Amino acid sequence: MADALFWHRVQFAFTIVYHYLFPQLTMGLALLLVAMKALALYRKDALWGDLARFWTRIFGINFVVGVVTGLPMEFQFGTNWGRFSQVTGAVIGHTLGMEGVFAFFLESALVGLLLFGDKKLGPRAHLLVAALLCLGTWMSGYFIICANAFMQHPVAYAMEASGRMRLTSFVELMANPWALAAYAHNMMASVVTASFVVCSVSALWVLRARHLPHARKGLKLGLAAGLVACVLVAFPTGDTQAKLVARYQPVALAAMEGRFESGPQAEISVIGQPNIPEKRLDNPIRIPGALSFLAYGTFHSDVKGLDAFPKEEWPTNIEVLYYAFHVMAGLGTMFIGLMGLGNLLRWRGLLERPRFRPFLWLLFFAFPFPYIATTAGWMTAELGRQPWLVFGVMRTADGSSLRVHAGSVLFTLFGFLGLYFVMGLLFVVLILREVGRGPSVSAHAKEEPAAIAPDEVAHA
Amino acid sequence: MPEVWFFLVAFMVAMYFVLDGFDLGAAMVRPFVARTDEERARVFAAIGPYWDGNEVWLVAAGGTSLCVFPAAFASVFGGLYIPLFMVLWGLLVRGISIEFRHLSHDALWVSFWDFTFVVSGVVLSLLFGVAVGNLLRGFPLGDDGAFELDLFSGSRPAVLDLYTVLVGVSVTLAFALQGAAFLAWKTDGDLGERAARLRKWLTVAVAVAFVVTFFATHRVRPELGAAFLARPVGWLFVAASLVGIGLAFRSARTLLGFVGSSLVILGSAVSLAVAAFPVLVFAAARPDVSIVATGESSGLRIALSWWVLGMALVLGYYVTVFRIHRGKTPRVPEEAQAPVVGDGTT
Repeated sequence: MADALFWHRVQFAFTIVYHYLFPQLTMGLALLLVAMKALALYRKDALWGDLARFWTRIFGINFVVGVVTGLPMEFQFGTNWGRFSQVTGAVIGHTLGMEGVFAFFLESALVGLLLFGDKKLGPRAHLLVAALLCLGTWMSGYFIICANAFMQHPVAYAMEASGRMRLTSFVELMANPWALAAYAHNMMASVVTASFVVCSVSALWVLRARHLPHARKGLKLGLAAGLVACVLVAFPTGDTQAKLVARYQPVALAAMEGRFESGPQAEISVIGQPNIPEKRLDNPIRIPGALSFLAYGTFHSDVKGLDAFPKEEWPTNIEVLYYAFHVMAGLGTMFIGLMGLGNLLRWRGLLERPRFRPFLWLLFFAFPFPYIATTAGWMTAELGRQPWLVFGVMRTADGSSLRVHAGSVLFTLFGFLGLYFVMGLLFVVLILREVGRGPSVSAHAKEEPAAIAPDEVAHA
Repeated sequence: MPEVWFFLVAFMVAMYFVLDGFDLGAAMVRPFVARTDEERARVFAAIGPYWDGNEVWLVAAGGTSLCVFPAAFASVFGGLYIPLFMVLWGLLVRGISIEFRHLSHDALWVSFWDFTFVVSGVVLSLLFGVAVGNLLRGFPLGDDGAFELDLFSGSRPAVLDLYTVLVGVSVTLAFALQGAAFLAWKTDGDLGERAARLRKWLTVAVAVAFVVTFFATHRVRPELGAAFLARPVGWLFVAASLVGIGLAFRSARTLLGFVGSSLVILGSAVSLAVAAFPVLVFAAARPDVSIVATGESSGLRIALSWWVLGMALVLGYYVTVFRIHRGKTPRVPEEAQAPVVGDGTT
């Protein structure tokens, strides 16, 4: 039984981490696409239109991989986590059912129109399609985060005699404070991902001196949206999230910070290695009082350490949890700096100066890091929730399917590894091909190619 | 309230079969009806605007049954662990086949996705039919509501046994008919002509297969027949099925033929649901542990309110998408279909 549980967890972790690489770009990019299309329409600037068409192609490829990798997620509730589904289905099933009925149908109807309906619909209707599609993807995000928030901070349920939950208040379920905070935090993170991807591709074009007018627009939008989103990820959304963890999951907070002893004026450790056998943090560099401030708003508040909790309530993988949180927070901080600097350079008109080419390289190479930070953030949330499947109510060990043994799970895990590897390769090849091709210049823009011609020739 | 939900879930699954049935069917009949590069590309173009939305019916049915019948959801999904993942992998391959094919015009690229498209169509149709067969035959449920079932086995009932494969073949034929009827309606020229001819043959094949399946089902689970006879409303759906057979056989290349084949699927699925009601999961040997439709009413009522609103929107989306793409699927221009050697795009 313990064996099977381990592989159930590995398979879910693998399939969800892989899946979420795609929707995080989908949701963020959907918003940027709306911005590009609106700018094209209202500023009557064909360059924005070209750029929107280019990013729509990337969006399309990314969207379909997100769709097909999303299917297994819902099914695994039943196949791998049957007892969890039995107990909680009457509650979280509402959010999952609504995601299908309200978000997926809307998205599926619109994505084809976004990809191929450009000429058929005209610019105004096409902008509306993009906006509604964006709404669909963002709704989908809320429904699924509501399901997760129930696992983090269960609300609006009553346990029946049969051992199954029943929903007591629909509104309470949908307005779970955890869901609101996690949603805001997560959606801002997805805008960060999309902004970094747009910046990275634009930086590449500038470095290669290709598609310069488009690249400049891409940098303008990507850097601006990126800075706003990076700041919002940290404050207020990340900050609110941290305060909720402190309030509802103090044991997770202690583990995230590698804090073994309770006490006032709790410090944040910027770096250090959690040493579980010795119950201490090795080689720490600390900021005194900072954790107290983040969690409770004053520098002297008492913050519980792991010693305040029985060992069987400690998160099961404190080391990974600790690093996941620190990677997320560390990267998030650096993102603000990078985007701040980028906007400063762009504002001063220095971005394309030879002296600042290294910055463009930095921007180009930065695109994987929001993916890493987002994944680390979700690992923080999910590992912090352990050993609970529904925090404080149902242990992870009690949630797996009854009769599915380790051999079956390993079989399907290998299947996913193989399929997802091949699909990942295809995805990368297709994306690189589109990036290499760049935006196809519309008839309008072709009339005024003077600004780019010399560079284009020089680098052809 | 659970009674209502029993039929709403059955309706969603039936709608999935009707709608994704034509995508999967188009994949299966494609080798028989599309002979030129242009025709092959046109088959993809014909289902292109719809397949994703059609697939959502399955996701929505899954999410909704988790909500309204969590015990049945957990039992069936856990018990059919391996075949369900095969379905998921098949859907994954099918999805990227449709969406990746047109991204390059390289001959190898196109022929690869043509092949995976057809194979995934056949495998998925068979598996969905086998799943229906399994649900009708029942599972070796224990007191805990869970079960384990071999994928195949020489003598004992298994996921794939004589009966379930028979149902699998019947459903595969029904999906193929659905695909042919869709193409006969939505395409013209030689392609539409061949699809219409095939539709006629497939209608006969489906009629025969359904009759054989009917008698086999009566042997495997005789109480279904008795229950059905006690509920005369079921005849309405049987009649719908029969009318569908007639329409699919006789109609010209119009919407009516597609309505006919859709009625065949919808009518049969709903009459099966009428016969099975209120059992969601049959226990093969011990009727006392069969999982029936029950549930606490206030939660089910909440689900009904969002479901009705959602379905009204879905109807709107379908009307919009079918209207935008009304008429026959246009010919695919040369530059968007021809598999040329080397990458034709650069």
